[in-house]
Amino acid sequence: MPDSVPGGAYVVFFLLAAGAVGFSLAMLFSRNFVHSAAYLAAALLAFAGLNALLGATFLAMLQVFIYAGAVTVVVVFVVMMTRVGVADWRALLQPQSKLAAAVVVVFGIGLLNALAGFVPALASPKAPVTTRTIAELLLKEYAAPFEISSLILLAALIGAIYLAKEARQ
Amino acid sequence: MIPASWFLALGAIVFLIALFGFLTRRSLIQSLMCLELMLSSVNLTFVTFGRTVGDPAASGVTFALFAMVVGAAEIGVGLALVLVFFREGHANVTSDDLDILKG
Repeated sequence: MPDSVPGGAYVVFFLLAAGAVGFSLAMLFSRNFVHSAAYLAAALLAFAGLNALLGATFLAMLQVFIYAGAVTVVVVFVVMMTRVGVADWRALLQPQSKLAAAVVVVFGIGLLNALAGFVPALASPKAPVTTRTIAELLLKEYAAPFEISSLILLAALIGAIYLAKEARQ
Repeated sequence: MIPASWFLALGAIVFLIALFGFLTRRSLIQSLMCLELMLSSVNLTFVTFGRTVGDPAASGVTFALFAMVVGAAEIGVGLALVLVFFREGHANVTSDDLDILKG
């Protein structure tokens, strides 16, 4: 985002932030699982926009492809196949939501406290990350994790196929 | 330039919303959706830190990429598990159905 139009960047940030928070809440409180999945896709798209705003355009693109695209489609598939949805909403809620709220509040205080400690160090942003530097980092410094992550994907793929296959009688 | 702390705060807020959803929803599918949202907000935090204090600057994006790989693996296996439990006769697959390890 060019610094020559600071006002525009702020407007885009607030729109995306409102989208991310709003669609997350909508996902949470929607009773229809298909609607829920659609709100999830919208929230993930907002996150893609935020990544692009931070200069990580490659990651933003991947976010659109993988999260907003593939993951949402798989979620919708499973929702359709299992036919869960509007029926008996109460049965889908945990009884201890007050405890959950307390956990979230405590965790949130700790999280914001920890993040606040970093704020002085965040004053000077670096240049946007290019795809070239990511590639160099992935194939040189993080070559081993890169290979292991492809193994994880392969294992998950085989595991998902094995699990989803019809059980042989 | 937008202050980096705003991005961090936004990531934290969405993470907390998703955490609340993860703790209160019984349906496995909704829990998985909340997990995806948590991963995404953490990725945003990674990128923000990479852009500001990261050394080298691309390491934040690289970490986010690895988190994305793990997230994709997790949603694939998780939804396959949902299918298995649906096929075994649990009509709306909830976390209470996952009790086969119970003695």
